[in-house]
Amino acid sequence: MRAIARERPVALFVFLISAGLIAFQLLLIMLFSIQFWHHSAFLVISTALLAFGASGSVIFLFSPFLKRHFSETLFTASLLLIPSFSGYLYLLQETAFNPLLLIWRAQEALALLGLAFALFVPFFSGALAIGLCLYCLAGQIHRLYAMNLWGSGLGGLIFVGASVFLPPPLILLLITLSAAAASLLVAKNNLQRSVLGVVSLGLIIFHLIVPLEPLPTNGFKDLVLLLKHPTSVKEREAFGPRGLITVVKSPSFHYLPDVSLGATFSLPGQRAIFINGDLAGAITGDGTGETDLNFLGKRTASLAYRLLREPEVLVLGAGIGTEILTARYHKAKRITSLEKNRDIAALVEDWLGPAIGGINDDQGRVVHPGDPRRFLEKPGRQYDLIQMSFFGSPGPGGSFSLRGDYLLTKEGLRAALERSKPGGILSVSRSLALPPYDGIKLLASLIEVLEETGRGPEDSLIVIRSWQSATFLARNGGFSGEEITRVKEFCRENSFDLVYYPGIDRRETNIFNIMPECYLFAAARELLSERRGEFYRTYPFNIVPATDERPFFAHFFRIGQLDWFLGDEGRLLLVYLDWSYLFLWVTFGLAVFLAGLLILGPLAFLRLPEGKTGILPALVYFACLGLAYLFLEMAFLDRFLRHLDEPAISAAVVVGSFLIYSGMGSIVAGRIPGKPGKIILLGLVLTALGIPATVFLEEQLLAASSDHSLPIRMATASLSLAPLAAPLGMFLPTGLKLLHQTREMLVPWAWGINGFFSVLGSLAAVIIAVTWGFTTVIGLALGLYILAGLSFVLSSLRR
Amino acid sequence: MLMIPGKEAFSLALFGVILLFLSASSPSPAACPGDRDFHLKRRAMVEEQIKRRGVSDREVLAAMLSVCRHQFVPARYLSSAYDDSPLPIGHGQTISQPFIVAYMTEILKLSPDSKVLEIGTGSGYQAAVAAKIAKTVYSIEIIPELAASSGSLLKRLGLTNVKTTTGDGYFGWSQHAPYDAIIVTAAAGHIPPSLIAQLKPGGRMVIPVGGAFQVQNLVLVEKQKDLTITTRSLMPVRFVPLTGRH
Repeated sequence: MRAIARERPVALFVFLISAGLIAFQLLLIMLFSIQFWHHSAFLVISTALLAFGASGSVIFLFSPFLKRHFSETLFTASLLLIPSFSGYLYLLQETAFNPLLLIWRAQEALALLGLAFALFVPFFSGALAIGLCLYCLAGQIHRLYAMNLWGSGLGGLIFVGASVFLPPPLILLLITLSAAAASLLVAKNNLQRSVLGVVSLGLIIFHLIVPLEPLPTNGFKDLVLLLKHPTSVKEREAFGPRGLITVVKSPSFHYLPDVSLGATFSLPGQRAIFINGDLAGAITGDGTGETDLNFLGKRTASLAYRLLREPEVLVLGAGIGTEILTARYHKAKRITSLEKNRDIAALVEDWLGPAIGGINDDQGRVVHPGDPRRFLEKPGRQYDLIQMSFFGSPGPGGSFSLRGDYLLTKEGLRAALERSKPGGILSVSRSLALPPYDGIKLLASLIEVLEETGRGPEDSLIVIRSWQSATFLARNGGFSGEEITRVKEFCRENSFDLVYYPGIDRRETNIFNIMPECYLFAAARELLSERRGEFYRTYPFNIVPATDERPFFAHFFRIGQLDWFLGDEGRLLLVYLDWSYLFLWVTFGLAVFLAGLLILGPLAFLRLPEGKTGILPALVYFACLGLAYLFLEMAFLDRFLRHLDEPAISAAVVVGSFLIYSGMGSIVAGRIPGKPGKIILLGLVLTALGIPATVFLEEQLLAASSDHSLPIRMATASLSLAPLAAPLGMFLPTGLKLLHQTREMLVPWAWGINGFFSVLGSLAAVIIAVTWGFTTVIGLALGLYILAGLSFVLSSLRR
Repeated sequence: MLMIPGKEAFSLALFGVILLFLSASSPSPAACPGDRDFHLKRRAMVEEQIKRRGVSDREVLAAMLSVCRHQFVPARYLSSAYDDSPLPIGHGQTISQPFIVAYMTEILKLSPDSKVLEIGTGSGYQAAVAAKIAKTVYSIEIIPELAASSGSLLKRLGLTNVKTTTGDGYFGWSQHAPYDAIIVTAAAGHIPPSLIAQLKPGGRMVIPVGGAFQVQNLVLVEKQKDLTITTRSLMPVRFVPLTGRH
């Protein structure tokens, strides 16, 4: 064992395995979103971290054997990675699993279990190899831990870069090669090298014989459904960190959801745009500017143009360009538009560029790739009309209800309103969900923003709706009687219903598109009255406006209503919600159960030579580290979303920076002389200082660089994380080193605890952020580090 | 030996024939090829999934009881044919949840004279149910394989008042227009103007909004006698009260 430690570059082995595992995890999060919808990303994250925990328990239980066969275990574990990495894409393609059927069919649960188990194998193998290195080579623990973090950090960054240029099978090949290289590093004889050669050869033959189809293959994805039609043609497909974007031309595709029922126009040709196989919208017209666009005058979103003549328009979240075409159709004097998904922005630029000429903004672009909220925060031109797009494009992966949307927070809406000229209008259009929740939440947000900015909401709001869309106008000033008459005419012409205008009578509502009750009108009445607080409390869905502190506009589920949702009446409504939040709780419950089973379970059956004293402080110490690290990582990942435009980039920069700086912290901690307690105390002080420092730097550095290019913003974001992330790397290796000196047998168990609580941390951070906000998450993280410090002192004193 | 005079014997024979006819025309365990279990399941489906949720039209309930749903599902889902759920039928399509089929049929207020257009034949089940009530059902399916399989199944079942074709239902079936009722079984992004044009004044069209597994809302489109169009949101379950008191 010692021979291999000297002769073989184990540190490089740990680096390669860590890089491969993180890249594999990121790739699968994207592929699961493409194949099975975004909720399944939790499965990947949880299974990966659970495997890390389980590997610790296995090393703990079989440590004498594994120690004796150290090099063989490293070789076998890394060898196992090769087929389990490479075969997973094939499995993903072939497994007939549909999460939508889970509540009806037990077979789906079995398929899910199979997918999860196959996912567990590579993560367990990799984690076993890394954990064993940390356990057996305690003298190098700071260095090995740093390599683990650096490998993970760089692996993530390399993945994001590679995904811009390479398709998934080639990325997977690179990941598999990293495992093969790691395996080669620890192969100690010709037999092992021969086995490695045979496995690698077998893999190449497998890939030649079994071709991989492009995902999604799931027959319930919008993209797959449209492609089944014989006349559908896939015109363009691009895979990247923002997801899989596909353009399909099909004569059987028609998508005009917010158009008046009274429209009798000839249909323009359309192309369907998909993100991760889900329909994101349609590009209308043939790109030549010759298309009949009369339908654009018959959308609820066109209402503002009835009130403003040749306005200067800012389109936020341009999506697939419908709002740009609508502005052009209404002879807008100037159009500036922003879309944060750069791939979609490029697509729209290419497609609409020739048709738009002459009315776009000073820089001559149809769409600016960039974050609308960041644009609003910068001082600049004011607009007559600010349109928040009906067709804003969703992002890749993640979970819709648990993804921060800083444009629809009260601060975001306020920033938009303040960029409008006096008399200017903020227009927001939404698909009208039933049961009604998102429209009501938007209405509540606008009312509160108008109130807080001193504009009377009673006089500054107009809301209309069609059979499935609603448009909300908030004005920087009131509406005149003549303007209200024009609104009424617009609604009458297009069979739209009035929902709210200053002085509306209930009898004017619910005429053309009849609901059992005009829910939005009734909600407006409640929200504009003193009963607003009571209304928020009693409504079955969460309709309290989102804020920057809790930017989850699409989160409507109230856990307090769970018993009702599980009853006869509520169960039928359950399917209408985004399930992300429920998935999160279910995953959290499972993780708690498995953590108990796999961490505490082994302890119950083992007789430790030194008894079980000191175990509790160790448990608390390593559990707190697992939770707190993930709390901070998740909280800052979301905070930086505002500055780095996109979730994939924010994740790569924040997670990568955390890991790389923590690796540096680990190296520094290894070189600090003196007792471990001193290092922990130093780490605590630096962490306590690092949190406010990072928050301060985040604001200062990023405000200063908000006009700069993305690479500069990425660099400044990364730098601002250094004061916080570096000291975080001091705790785990110092604790493991001390444990190695005192209770060596517990080292792998502690490694497992850290892994398990990282699972819980990633899930709990989201639950806490949704419920209490990000400041609470950060505060709790600091509290957990202090608790870890206390338990470290306790365990040291006992010793 | 009991002797029956000639006239009485004829009357008895006639009575027997009438009895035989009545027994053949009423729903019974022998109405569908298959075993009695399916009949019991079908009865349970009507009672527990459909009537209990408020569908009360006797014609619709009779149609749901008489159409053998298990004949419209793939063999691998046979045991789930009468479950309270949609089921995959291949090509990414589904056969709707029984309650949704019954509810949509009830909303259309079909009569024996009705001429119905169905957009999205799928398995053919909805067309079969509607055909038990209406005079004629015209059904369009965009996926050729499904159109072929459901068309031949409906023929095999003797539903001669169902006419099927392959095509894009977005443009309707103008050859047979106007229709008393239009039923769109595929989830719609918007209401096609061509379908509104092919609806008779006073006609009704029902459209589900949402995905195959997430029918969020059913929308009833009515063309008034004065040709104005109105829509009505219909939920398959009682709606969440706005006040939150439930």
